[in-house]
Amino acid sequence: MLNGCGKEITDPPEPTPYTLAIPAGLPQMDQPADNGLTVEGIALGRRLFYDKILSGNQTQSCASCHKQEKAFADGLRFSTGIDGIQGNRNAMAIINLGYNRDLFWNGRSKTLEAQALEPVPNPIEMHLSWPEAVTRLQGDANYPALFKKAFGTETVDSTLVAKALSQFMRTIVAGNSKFHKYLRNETQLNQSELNGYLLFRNELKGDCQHCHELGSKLLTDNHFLDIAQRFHNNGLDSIYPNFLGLAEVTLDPNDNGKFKTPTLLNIGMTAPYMHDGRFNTLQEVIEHYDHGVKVSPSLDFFMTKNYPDLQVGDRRELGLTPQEKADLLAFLLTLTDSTIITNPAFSSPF
Amino acid sequence: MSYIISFLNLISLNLSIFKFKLMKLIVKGLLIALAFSALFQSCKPTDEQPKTGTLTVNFNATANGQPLVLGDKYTSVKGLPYKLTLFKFYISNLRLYSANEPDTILDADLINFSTDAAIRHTSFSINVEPGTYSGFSFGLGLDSMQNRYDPTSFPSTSPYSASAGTHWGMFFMYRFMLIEGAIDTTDNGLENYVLPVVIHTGFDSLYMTRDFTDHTMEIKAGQTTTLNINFDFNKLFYSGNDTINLLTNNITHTSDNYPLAYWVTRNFKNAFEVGN
Repeated sequence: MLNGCGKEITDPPEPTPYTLAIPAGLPQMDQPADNGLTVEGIALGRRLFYDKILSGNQTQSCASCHKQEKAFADGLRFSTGIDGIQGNRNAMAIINLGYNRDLFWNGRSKTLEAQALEPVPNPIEMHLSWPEAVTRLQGDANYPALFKKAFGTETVDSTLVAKALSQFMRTIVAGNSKFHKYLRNETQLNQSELNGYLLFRNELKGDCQHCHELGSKLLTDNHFLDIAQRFHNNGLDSIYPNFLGLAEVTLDPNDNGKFKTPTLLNIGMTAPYMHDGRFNTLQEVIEHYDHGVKVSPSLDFFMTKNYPDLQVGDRRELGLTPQEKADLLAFLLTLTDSTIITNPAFSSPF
Repeated sequence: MSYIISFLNLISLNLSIFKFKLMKLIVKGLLIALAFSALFQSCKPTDEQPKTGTLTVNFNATANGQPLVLGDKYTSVKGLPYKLTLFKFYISNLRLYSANEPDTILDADLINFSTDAAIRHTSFSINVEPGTYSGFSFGLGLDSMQNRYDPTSFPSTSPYSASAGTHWGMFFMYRFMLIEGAIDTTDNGLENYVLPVVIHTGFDSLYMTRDFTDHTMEIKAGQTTTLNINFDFNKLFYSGNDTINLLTNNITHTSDNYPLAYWVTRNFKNAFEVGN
């Protein structure tokens, strides 16, 4: 009777838990305890990812530098922000980030949620302060209701924006390349690809697998627990006038020139390459590892372990034949999972 | 009228009988409930006694008489200053010896001397059947079956997981021990740690077992027994007359320098001591 006299008050419905479909053969992905995947959270994150409302002059979104058709990179050496300013880092492809323990080339963010807070206020990227961004979202006709569905509150804040963006990014999982299918006995590699695979694993030749780890099938080592195993100097330079790479974070000169290992998944679609996009093609990358690796004090020991006489300033000569280089390239191209660029769940909702 | 009175008396009597019967029924019910309650109470121990004891195993590493800390400077047996950046190793098949068959109480664990508190793991605790044990043994590395596990089948918290950073993509097996660091070859005070030391051991043939057959341990229910396993890190590089010259023999991934991988594994196995 008393209930009948008053207006019924109900809690907002709980967001719907979402189970991530991990391709067979990949490890399960950990989820943060305070930001588990939900249908509503992912949908909100996807919308925010593509919405230009988060940039100062409303001309750019996250997707401006992480384009689905480019496997969530942008195909440029350096991206240009809303004020026409270029950065000095190549935009990393957003693939399998949910497995990563470091974000950005120098690893300055340890979680996706922390990473997602950076590009919006960055003056050379989207250049919008978080208070302004929150005011915009709060005043939008749709967003407060979407935040309520995803997080149970209409009150927008930057933490929830970062959580939603992170949820969406965690769903971008690649693991159905030709190589993965080969490992699952679903297809065969041709002879050149097989030869390239053997070179990739061969400690005396390509020796790529030390950093682009095979056991996890993630083709990176950024899921390893020990930070000492996650950053490497791959010999791009021999002199570092300033702290560079991981050293920007640790301020330790021994970390100069060490960068996060990017995944090789979809590497054929994410040119140009390296932290500064200095190589336009995979052929150039292979040439670098063949005879361009420069010896420096922080050079990764895997690079020189078979060359004990090399001195600082020397270049390593691997001596790959043209056929071996072609085979290595053929293998790298088997790492493309094209579902990433066609999956409608990752496309713009606008 | 008398009929009416008789009738009312009869009703009153019947009511009294009914009340009495009702009371009797209630009391009976209560007694049954109490009996059942007592029965169930007696099935549940009022003061639960623990059935197992806890064995805590600590791996304690020293170098130059000091606790081993990654990043700190130590001196090798050959007098070379060195620092470590990574040191982790598997132990497996921890068995306790008693009058019965040896009891395997631990499948495998990855001991990690990282300075990152979140991943440092030099100690673990296991529930063990109470009793007197005459000794124990454990494997250094993984046995041939464990060595072929697929790391993607395990959660990131497992020592077998891909996140452990131990799986060897080139062989699809595990590395048993990872030692990474550098030597200051000049030792002139300029801290030039330029010569890498990288020792990654693996392969089934380097799985070695260490036995401590005469270490009696009493495990009591509800109590914790501590087992300290100590080692001097420098002993990994010498054993009696046989000293490894890290200036010239500083890198092995087992397949490329099997003797070094073998020597370090053998020395490590022998370096373990039971402490207080």
